[in-house]
Amino acid sequence: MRSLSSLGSRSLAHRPGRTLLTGLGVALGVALLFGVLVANRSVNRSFERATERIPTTFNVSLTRSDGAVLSDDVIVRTFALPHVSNGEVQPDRTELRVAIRGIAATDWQNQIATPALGPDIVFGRIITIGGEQQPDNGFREFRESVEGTLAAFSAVSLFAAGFLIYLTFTTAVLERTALYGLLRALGAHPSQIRRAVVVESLTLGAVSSVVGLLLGFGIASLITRLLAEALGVATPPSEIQLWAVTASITLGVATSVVSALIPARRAGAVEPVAAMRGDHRAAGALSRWWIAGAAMLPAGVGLGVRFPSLRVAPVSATLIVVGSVLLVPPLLKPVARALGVATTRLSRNGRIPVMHLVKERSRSAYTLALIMVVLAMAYSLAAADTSMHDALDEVFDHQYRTDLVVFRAGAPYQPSELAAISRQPHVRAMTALGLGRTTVADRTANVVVIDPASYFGMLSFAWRDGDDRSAAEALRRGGAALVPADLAARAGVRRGDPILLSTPDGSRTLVVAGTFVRFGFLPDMGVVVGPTDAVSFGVAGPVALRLNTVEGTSTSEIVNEVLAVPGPGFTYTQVQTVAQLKEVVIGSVDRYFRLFFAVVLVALIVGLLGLANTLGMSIFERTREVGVLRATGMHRSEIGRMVVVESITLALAAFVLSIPLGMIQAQLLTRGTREQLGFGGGGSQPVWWLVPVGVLATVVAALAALLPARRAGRVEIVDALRFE
Amino acid sequence: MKIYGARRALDGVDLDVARGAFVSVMGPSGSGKSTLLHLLGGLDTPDEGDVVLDGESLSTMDDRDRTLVRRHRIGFIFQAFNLVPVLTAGENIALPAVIDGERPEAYEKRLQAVLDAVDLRERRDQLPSELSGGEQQRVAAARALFVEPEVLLADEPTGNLDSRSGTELLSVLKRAQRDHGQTVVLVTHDPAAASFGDAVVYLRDGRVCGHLHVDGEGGDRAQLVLAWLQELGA
Repeated sequence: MRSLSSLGSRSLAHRPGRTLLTGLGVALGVALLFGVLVANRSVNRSFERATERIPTTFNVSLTRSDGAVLSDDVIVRTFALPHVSNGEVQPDRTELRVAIRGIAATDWQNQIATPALGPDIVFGRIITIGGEQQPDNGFREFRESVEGTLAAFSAVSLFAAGFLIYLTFTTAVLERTALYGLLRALGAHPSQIRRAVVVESLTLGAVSSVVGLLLGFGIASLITRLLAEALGVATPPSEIQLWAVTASITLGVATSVVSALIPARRAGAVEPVAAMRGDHRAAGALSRWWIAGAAMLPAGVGLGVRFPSLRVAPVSATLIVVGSVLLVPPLLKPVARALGVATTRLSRNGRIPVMHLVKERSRSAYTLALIMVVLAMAYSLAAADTSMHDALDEVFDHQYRTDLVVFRAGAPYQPSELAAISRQPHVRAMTALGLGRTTVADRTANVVVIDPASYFGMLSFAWRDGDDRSAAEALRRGGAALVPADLAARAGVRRGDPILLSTPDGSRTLVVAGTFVRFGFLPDMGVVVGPTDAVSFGVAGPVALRLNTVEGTSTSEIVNEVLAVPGPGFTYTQVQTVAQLKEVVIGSVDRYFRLFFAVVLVALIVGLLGLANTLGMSIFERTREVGVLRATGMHRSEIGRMVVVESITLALAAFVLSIPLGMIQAQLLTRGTREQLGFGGGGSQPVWWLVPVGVLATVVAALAALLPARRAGRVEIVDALRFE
Repeated sequence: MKIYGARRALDGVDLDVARGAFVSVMGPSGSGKSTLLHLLGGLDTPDEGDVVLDGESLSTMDDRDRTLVRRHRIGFIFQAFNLVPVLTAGENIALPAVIDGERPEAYEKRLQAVLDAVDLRERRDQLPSELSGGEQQRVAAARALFVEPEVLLADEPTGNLDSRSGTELLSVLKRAQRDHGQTVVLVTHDPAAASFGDAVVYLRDGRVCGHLHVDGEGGDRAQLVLAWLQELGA
């Protein structure tokens, strides 16, 4: 041994079980972070490559009907045609994309291009919704919010991993206090001891981070797949960048070292005589850190309420989580005592472990905090998920109360086409919607043009403030808009207030005739105006239909009837039943949440490792006590059961404390999702979800107690009584 | 004077230990023996009074300087061995050198010599858990001797040993005094162990209440100490 610092690595090797548990916690934290970074990058690059290939100015595509390569002659002649302002040949030369200006694309095709280029050329439309082409505007916000939320969750997981290291080193320092006292007695400076502890954490952090990186490759491909699914893009290959590797390793190592700093300081401050006399075990004293927690928690809540954006979420979430964690120690004693009334019944000697929990407050409290944070995460996610499903149901009950949803890209429906569809034998009722774009309070939003007469005869809105009759009247008169509640809140307007909306010709002020809940995944959810205001927003005509069918109509019958009405030649029509549409939307929501639940699951495993680690440590420290209990007649199984009682009491206390934290986080998460993405939902608390979360806590506790309980039961009396 | 809470662990103790002396400290439990040893070794500081080592006051030194005194000038042997479980016997012995930043090649000869002195050359690479109690305590003694300290402080070093192992250890201490001129202060309950010293000090309730100069050889010395203790009513 060349220096005291290598004592650290010896100690790690001496306790392989605990080292493995802690290392695995760090590795999982790093793996998760790395996975999220790589997945975000891969999906982003894939998305960028896709959008790079479709410049927003091109609106018509030309290909040969036989799919062959376009000749130079055709390309040159196309560029020479009137109204072609720009164009681009695709790399394989089978497609030419052009930007048509100053004439409707349909007219350009019919009147200019087809006569000039001949019947072999097929025209397609590069789809745009509404007036100005902004293909990824809303999508980008959605993507950023998903990434932000993922980053926040992985930060919490890394925090949990850091916490695990802190717990391990705190207990390891406590356990080795006598050793540090001896080293001080032999002439070691406090700085040498601090360095030894830091080097130990550095070693553990570095090795675990490298392992985490390897695990991260697997997690990256899983998250990439889930993320691509949630965003509705093809799963791209993982793109690994040097900075992602560096950032993950650095964060893993830094978290390890920072987490070990406080225990290292404690180790260095050990007084030799007190350490060797055993006075250091008076660790139950309550520190004053809870005061900082009492300040941080409301600050985090305030920040989250004031700035509900998901981008601020990581900061407010960190303040809330750290604040709550610091508040746990003073709460542990009363909560554990209260729960102990029930859990002590699980074992004849159940009082002993509950007493230990209360006595060893510091370590128990922070382990409990770790579990509490993860359970709160699970609950808040469940609440957000439930809230979204509720909002979806509410929106579908009001705004999609029809049988069929039709969307046509390429060209708006002409009045004659609408009349033809409405005359089809299985169509009972129909209303048409036009789509445009606007900006409200710096947020891009769709404009939905409805015909109040037909719309309110079939459908309604999920009103927050308003009613069908007054809304229909206001839209019929014009100069009025129905505004999604989230946009109204963002713009700071209520029903009856004026609202400023952008149009292709500048800004326009309309009066808010009502506010309603919308659902962000659905494109025809935006600011609703009547036909008289459609022109202001550059909406040429309806592009979507809602149909009610005659009873007994099959889907294929109605689809055929809708498609039987000929369009202008190059349109794309999508016909879906409302049930199909709902299924698609629910699928998107579920994919989105599956991703987050996967992250929470990893955090839960980290929490489980923390609990197992703490229990193991607790049993180790009480080896002599276990020996005495065995010597005085306690069975091995009873000793094991005591450990389980301790674990379950701890986890249930964490569960109890996670309820208010989870509810706060759920409110903020739902609010953030609503404000940022326009997903509705009133932020209702799915209290019934507490049951599975409580069961989850108990299962985690039982799993975490397995090994420590087995070890405690196997303690040999003579060895234990000899234990120092 | 040293006070712990409301209890005076040491009160008015005035003790002069000459260079190269071997002094045994005896007394009932709680009499302040270990506290005295901790003060002498700079592990703790008195609340009143002073501890002077070769003209230097330990009480007025800052923690850094006191640490250096412990590192270079004082060797400790504890009743509970206090060996580092993850280090081998040889590494435990060389621990003070590691703390001092010495390289293994620089202290190898010294280590060999100490291992020979305590007859542990063959056990050098064993972990403490693989050694007997007597061997563990000899490792602890070797660690104290390794730095060639001016003062050796031993706190009940034979408390956990059988009589043969205890005698071997005390012989090691005696040789350190006799052959190397090191000062030894031994805290013990055992009159036979105390008789290895040239003098015995008896503490009761934190005060010195008896001082014996020990003469003679072998069993006579132990008898002398025993008789003296009876005189003191111990």
